[in-house]
Amino acid sequence: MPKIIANDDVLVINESSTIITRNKTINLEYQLSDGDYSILILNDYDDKVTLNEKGSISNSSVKIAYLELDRYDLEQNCHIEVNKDSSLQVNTTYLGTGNKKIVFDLFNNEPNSLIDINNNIVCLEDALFELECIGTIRKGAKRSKCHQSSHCLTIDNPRKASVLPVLNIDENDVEASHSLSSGTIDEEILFYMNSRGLNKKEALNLILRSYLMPNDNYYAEFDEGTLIQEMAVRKVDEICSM
Amino acid sequence: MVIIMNILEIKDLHVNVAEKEILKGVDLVVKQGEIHAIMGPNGNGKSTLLQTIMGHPSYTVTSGSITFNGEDVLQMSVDERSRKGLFLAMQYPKEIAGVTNSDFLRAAINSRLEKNISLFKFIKEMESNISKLKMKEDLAHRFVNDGFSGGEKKRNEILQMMMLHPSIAMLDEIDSGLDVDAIKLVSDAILELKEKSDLGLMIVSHYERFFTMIKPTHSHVIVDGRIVVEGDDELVYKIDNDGYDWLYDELKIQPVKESRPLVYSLGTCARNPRGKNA
Ligand SMILES: Nc1ncnc2c1ncn2[C@@H]1O[C@H](COP(=O)(O)OP(=O)(O)OP(=O)(O)O)[C@@H](O)[C@H]1O
Ligand SMILES: [Mg+2]
Repeated sequence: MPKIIANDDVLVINESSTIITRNKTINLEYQLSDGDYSILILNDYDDKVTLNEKGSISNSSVKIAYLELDRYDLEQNCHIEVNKDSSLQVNTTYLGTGNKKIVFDLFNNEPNSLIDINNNIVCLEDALFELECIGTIRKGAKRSKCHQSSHCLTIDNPRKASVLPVLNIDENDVEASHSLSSGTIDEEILFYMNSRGLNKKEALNLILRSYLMPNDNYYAEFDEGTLIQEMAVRKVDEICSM
Repeated sequence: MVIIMNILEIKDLHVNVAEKEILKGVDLVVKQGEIHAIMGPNGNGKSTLLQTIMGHPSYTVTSGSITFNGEDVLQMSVDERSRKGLFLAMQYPKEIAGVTNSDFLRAAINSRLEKNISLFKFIKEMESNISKLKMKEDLAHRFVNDGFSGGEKKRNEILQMMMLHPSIAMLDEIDSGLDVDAIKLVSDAILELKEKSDLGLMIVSHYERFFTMIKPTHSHVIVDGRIVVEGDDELVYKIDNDGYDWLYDELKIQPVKESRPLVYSLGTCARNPRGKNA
């Protein structure tokens, strides 16, 4: 699986890839067809990044994972069209610090298109975080499915932590759902952890790790699997030592 | 040779919960190697005493003192109390989704060590304790108490105690929800730990069965926020036979009646058979 360091403004991909962003603005384009694809997008640029993504998927099964654990600002607009007999599975992990504005615009275009998106978000005190997740099932896209779920953990009263799921459905014979859970760390859980000797930062560390690495297996297929784990652990240690 | 004697001293302890006085002057001394049975009717302050010693933020000490080996416990944070050697097995253990038992325990052990425990030693100890308590082998990789049965949660509290090696352990109704065999396993594990480390214990339970196995050296009965009678294990058996009424008569006291909510929602009524009589 090629690793692409995205230094260029426009990046066209047509196979499974790991994309590491190293530029201010990236326009990512793809038309994936007739196959199984896994794409990992890892933000590793030490400043604000704007990521514009335009994709279409036909007769394929595609997994995309986004991982953003930096404190820098981010603007992300993602527009993906899912066509006949295709599935799209999206897993996102965002650490909300700084200013982040993210829009997912996902379309079930044609019959038998399946979309499933899971968002994992941790927002810290200085976060101005906005995620809008719009699922649209177009007319004629029979037997399509669009499922969204989001978990948002807030710590120390972030300035803004907003997650907005939207479903537009223009077809009857479909399945669609969204779930959103958000909350802060339960006082009783914190007491329980404290009572075993962990101070607040140590307790937070364990909880954040679980949030930011919700599913190790998800990344296992990428060469970067271990790198990601180490990165997440390092970020969490960084946050918890502040 | 310096012999360090672990000693927890509670003097004239008054505690408020939500502006209401629950403990009204408790005196109690627990030394290493002693086993104190704490009994009393529901809602009269047993858990409040234990939670206050551990430092739960909902319980406010309005007067009195708690010291451990001469140090002021009330000045310590909850995690500091734990690292000093106090342990509370909770009546209702919390679930921590996403955090595995193994990560949780390893972090808890490391928090009290200069140098982190080796993974090898940790796994060996964990496996040996899991098998002593006849718990499922995949326990280490499951999330803390998440989806555990009532009995599994209680065993997991004991597992944590065995791994953390406290000096004084407080067990709040650790036997409720355990079947007969599990009670035996758990009491054997507690006694073994006590033999090894001269652990001091405060044990809250409503049942004689558990105390018969554990054989308390002291016993106390808490009614309306005070210890009203003390003794040895004979007192436990007397209460198991005769209940508390003789105490109320003799001492001319009244227990606190558990307050029930006055308004039941329809949903609760439908599901709770007791709701009908309320
Ligand atoms: N966190 C809390 N918030 C409000 N009230 C509380 C809280 N904890 C305890 N109480 C109240 O304090 C009183 C004593 O409760 P406590 O849990 O100490 O009783 P207990 O003796 O342990 O009873 P049981 O045998 O039923 O466990 C009760 O009236 C209870 O409702
Ligand atoms: Mg209780």
